[in-house]
Amino acid sequence: MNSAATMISIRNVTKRFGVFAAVQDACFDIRAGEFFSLLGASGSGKTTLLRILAGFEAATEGEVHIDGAPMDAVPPHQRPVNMVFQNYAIFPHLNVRDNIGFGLRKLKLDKAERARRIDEMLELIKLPGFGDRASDQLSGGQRQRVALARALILRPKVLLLDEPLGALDKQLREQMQTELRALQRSVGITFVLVTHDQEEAMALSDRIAVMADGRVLQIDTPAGLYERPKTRRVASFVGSMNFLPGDLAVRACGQAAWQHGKADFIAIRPERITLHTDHPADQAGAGQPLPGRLTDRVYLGERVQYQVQLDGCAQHLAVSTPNTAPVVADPGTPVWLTWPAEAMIPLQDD
Amino acid sequence: MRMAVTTPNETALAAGRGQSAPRWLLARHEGLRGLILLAPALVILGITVIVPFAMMGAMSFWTQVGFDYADDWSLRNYIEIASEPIYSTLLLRSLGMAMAATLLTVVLVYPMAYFLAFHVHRNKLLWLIIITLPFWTSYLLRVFAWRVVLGFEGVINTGLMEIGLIAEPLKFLLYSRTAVVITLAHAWAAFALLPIYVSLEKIDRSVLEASADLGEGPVMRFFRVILPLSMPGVIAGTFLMFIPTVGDYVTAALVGGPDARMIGNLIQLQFGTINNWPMGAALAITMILAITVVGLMFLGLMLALKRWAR
Repeated sequence: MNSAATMISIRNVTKRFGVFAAVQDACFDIRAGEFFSLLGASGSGKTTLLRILAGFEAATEGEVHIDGAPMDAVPPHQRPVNMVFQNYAIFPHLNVRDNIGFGLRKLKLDKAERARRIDEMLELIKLPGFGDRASDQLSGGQRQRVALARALILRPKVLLLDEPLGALDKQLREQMQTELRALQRSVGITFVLVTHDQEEAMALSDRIAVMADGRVLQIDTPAGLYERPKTRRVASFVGSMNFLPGDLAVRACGQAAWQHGKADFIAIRPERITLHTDHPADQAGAGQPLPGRLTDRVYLGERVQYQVQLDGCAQHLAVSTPNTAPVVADPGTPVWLTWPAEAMIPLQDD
Repeated sequence: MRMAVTTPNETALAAGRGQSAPRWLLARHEGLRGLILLAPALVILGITVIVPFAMMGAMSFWTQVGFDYADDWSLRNYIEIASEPIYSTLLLRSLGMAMAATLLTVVLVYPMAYFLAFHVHRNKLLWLIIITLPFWTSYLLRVFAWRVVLGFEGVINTGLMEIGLIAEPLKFLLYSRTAVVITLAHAWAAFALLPIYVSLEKIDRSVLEASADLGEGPVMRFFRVILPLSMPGVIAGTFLMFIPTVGDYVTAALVGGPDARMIGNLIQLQFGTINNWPMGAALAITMILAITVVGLMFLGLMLALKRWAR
């Protein structure tokens, strides 16, 4: 994947609406064949950036190249990209076949070839025999598939997806995630997905750009973002995270293990912390276990989530253990926390 | 189907059920609720439309005898309408002029509705009020205003003569079919504008972006998405305008010349000067039937177009 050519190149793109900057100085590349996600809360600028790629918004500054060609002067209908809209934007006056075949007019195909391609798409989205359905007789999931087929039938260089799974219920969403991922692999088209759902972004993407307040905070693989977040904001947005002042971490792990130099914060994932009901035996080279008191326990099925208040300070830590670990103690019980030195992520103040 | 013996408890229960029966019925039957809501309108419609219509239908089979009617239930009036060419000429001319006025209006008003729906983002209500402002004045005043505009010494003629484009007044402007069509087109414009505007306003903007995204430029976007989606409004506007203009007689009387008389003028004469109400009724019924036929043909044409466009 790393050797793949650049498909989209975003160079210093800024978009202002009046004085408000929706996107500030975005500058990154998206590789050919990649599943790339723009992840951020609402108002982070991710949708604006996607609409700049589609051509519905013009960048105030900077430029976008798609497959090597500058896109500044290219209107949406001439760009080699297609989009799946958030509400799917199915044409209400056309049936499923005509929706899927809408973009084929320009290709001047004969009737048989046109029908063949539409059938092929219906097969791909697993809706064969639905061609003559009116668009208002489709469920949410079916509309989503039709929107996908309508965009993919034109074999675009890039498929843009604007929160395509947001309107679906949880089960259907998970099923569609799997299908979307498989589809992307089979067609080999570059996908750019906009989402606010970090689990969805992690499940689908090769790489993720985390955005907040119009800025790209970090671009990395899902594992990279989760294990090596660069800033506190990224760390807290992707998964749940404990933040500790540096000296506490030093106490817990001993000076020897602490070689990260100066850091304002230490971040530790809840699942990396081990919970002990008895004072654990000191291990050579490790720091001392931190004593605390259990304040809350939430049973989540596969995992159990604990809240622990450390003795002598107001700091609360979230600890998450798999359900297979013996369930310890009720709130109020004294506990001890330990974690391996490599679980600590040093962070600077944002 | 009651059991012969009931305990006091059961009787109380049954009584309670009986008391709440209307409310229960209302809660269960949506149709009934709808009917009750419709009832006032139905009563008014019945009294002001259906009853007079039935009376007119009945009267059209009567005959005028001197100052009295003979309710002889003959087809004499209809036979006369079918055999005398004057009636069919006037009827066809009325249909033609109404069609011309409707077509002119829809074509002129569509861009206005389009502008209002897609390019006005603030103060839409203000724009709507401004556009419908002419309709705040009386219909008669509007028609008279057109006499001022179209007359021999009217705005257009004197203006054109002033700048030297014409030497003498254009005679076809006033007292002609052109004048009637222009006046009708203006006088009824709001009736065509509003439904078209509403149907354009309802179009989901993302659908337009989707059609751009799928490769269509502005022109094809209009013909493949906007126009088909606004057709319900166009059809409604066409009917709202066509139906009343066929029977219009004030406009023809005020700005039309002798060759611009419409069927409405004749009907008015029958009920007035000529004093042959049964004949007037028969003419009115004939006109309604003709409008129905033309309307159905128009709908058929639209359906065929829709099928062909796909």
